[in-house]
Formats: sequence, structure tokens, C-alpha cells
Amino acid sequence: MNDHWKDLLASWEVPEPDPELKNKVLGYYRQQFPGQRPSTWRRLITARIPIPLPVAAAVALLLVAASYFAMRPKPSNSPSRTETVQTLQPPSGSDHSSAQNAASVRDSRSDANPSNAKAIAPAGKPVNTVRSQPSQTTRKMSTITLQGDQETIQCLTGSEYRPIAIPKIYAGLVFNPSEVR
Amino acid sequence: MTDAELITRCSKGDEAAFLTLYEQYSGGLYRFAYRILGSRQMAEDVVQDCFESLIRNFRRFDPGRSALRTYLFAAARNLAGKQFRYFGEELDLEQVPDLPSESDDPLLHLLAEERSVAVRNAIAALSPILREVLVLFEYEDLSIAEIAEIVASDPGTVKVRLHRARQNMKKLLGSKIPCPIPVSSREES
Repeated sequence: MNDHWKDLLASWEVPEPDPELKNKVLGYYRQQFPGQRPSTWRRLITARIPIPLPVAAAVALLLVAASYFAMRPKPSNSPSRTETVQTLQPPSGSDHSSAQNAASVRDSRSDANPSNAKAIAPAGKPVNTVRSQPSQTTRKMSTITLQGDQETIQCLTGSEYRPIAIPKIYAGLVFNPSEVR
Repeated sequence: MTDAELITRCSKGDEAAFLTLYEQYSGGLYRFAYRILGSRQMAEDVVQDCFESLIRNFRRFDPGRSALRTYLFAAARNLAGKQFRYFGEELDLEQVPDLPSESDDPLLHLLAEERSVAVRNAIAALSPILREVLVLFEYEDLSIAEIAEIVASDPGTVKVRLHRARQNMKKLLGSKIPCPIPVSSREES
């Protein structure tokens, strides 16, 4: 009989409370007793810094701009690259006068004005331009072309270009590659 | 760990001790408030206010004067009384949600539902002073002495109230309740 009475009363069950209730009460406790705080590391890891939205947006914009400029490919044909040559040695049958002619070119030209760069090719042809090429391509000049980073020049002898090593004869000759074409 | 030790630790900012205390008493307080007020939201408010009051008064609490359980139930009773005065004494049973039954049998489900509603209505129909005594004694298993302390009355009065509450329940539940209602050993002590 006692069980029946208990069962009857127990038939009225109570719904579960909101789980947020515990957090509310715990939050109030923490507010009242802030003394026992978490460790320094835990506080550092979970720290928050409030930043105004305009400031955050400006910082984000700056970061995006900086990363864009950092990732942007740089122009390949740098105009600052120059080659210094001293001596032009013909492949065969050259005489000393060509080197003297080249030296005379060095003396007569101006660094800032490559149009003044005139030299005599080893085969007796006039040298219109001597320049350094940043890329691997060979640019055909009227008479002499320097090929890439190699220290050779293309010398027009007769009707064909021939590679000639540059023994640094044109030291001091500076040409602006953009004006060579 | 005794309640006195828990209180001491809580007053020093020991969160684990407070959580132990909360887990120990929040369920009973919530069930008591819910059965008195008939509203989940109001019961949650009572529990929250009850614990917030305890948190504010950790240092004032004297374990030698009263047990923590008695103290908390008394606080919950007072807070529920305030809710009563604010919302009116009558419970709005339409707001009490029906609980889903675990039974698959529709007939059993219907019978359980009918019994649950009958008990709920019968308890809600009791006056607050009878209801609280019945709920504390039958549902929360508190002794007559403890209930007397909670309701700030003497044990004799509590026994009388409990007896009257049961008699009213018998009338309200009719054939569903056995006759006579058994007397608990706790009641006789």
C-alpha cells in the first residue's frame, strides 16, 4: 500500500532544468570570488583583447595590402644591370689596334649616354652597341651583342654572328639596356 | 566532506567545492520549487536566487545553527513565497508541460498520463502551506523536524498539516489513492 502511494506521487515527474542555470549560478560565484583565478598560462592562452571594429578592419586591410605587394612578381628586365668589359679579343687575325679602338671608345663616351658607345669590332666592323642581357635571349645588335650572363659577345663578321670571349677590355663602358634595342 | 567544510572552502573561492555543493542541492531545490510553483522558469529563478543568496552569505552562514539543506530549502521556500505573492497563489496548470512517457503501449501511456495529471492537479489544489509540507516530506524525504525548521513551525503543526494534506489528496484523487494512506516511519519519529 505504501508502494502504491509512493508510485502514485512519483507519477508526477519534474522536467529537467535548463542547463544554462548551472552556468548562471557558477558565473555569479566567479564574479563574487574572483580570487582563485586560473594559471598564468591558461589566462595567456585564453586572453582576449577587445579591438574596435574600424581598427580591426584597418589592420586587416593593411595586412592584405602588404601581403599583396610582397607576393607580387618583380619586373624581370632590371634596367640597372650593366656589364663592364675591358678587352675585346678577336677570334682570329686581330691586331692590337682593335683593342686600342675599344679603349678609345671608352675614353670618348659618356656613361649616361649609350648612344656614344662606339667601338671597333675585331674583324674591323664598327661596334655600335655593347650591353649585358639579363635574360638568356640573344639580342641582335647592329654589330656586336653580348649574350646573357656569359662573357661572350656576338660579333658580326661578314654575314654571320660569331661568339667571342670578352677579356674585360671594355671596363667602364656602361650601357642602358632599355636604349639598346 | 561535510557541509561546513564545503562552505569554508567556498568562502575561500574554491570553485570545485562550490560545484560539489551545487550538484548536491540544486536538484532537490529545483524539484521543490517546481512542485510548489508549477512553473519551470519560476523554479529556475528560485534556485538561482537561492544560490546567489548563499554565495553572498557564505561567511554569515553558521553550520552549528542549522544544516545547509534546511537553510537552502528555507531560502527556497521564502523565494517561492515571493513568487506566489507576485504571480498569485493559484497555479496555472495549463503552463505545466506534459512529460513524454517512456511506455510504447498507448493505453499504458494514457493511464500514466491521466495519473500524472491527477496527482499534479491534486497537489496544485492544496493550499501552499499544505503543499510545501507534503512536497518536502513525500518527495524530498525530509524529516518532520527538518520541515518544521524550514517552515518555521513546530513539528506538531507540521504533522497536522501533513495529515490534512493527505486527506485532501485522498478526496481529490478518489479511487486512485488507497485508503488509509500509510504513515511513514519518519513521520512517527
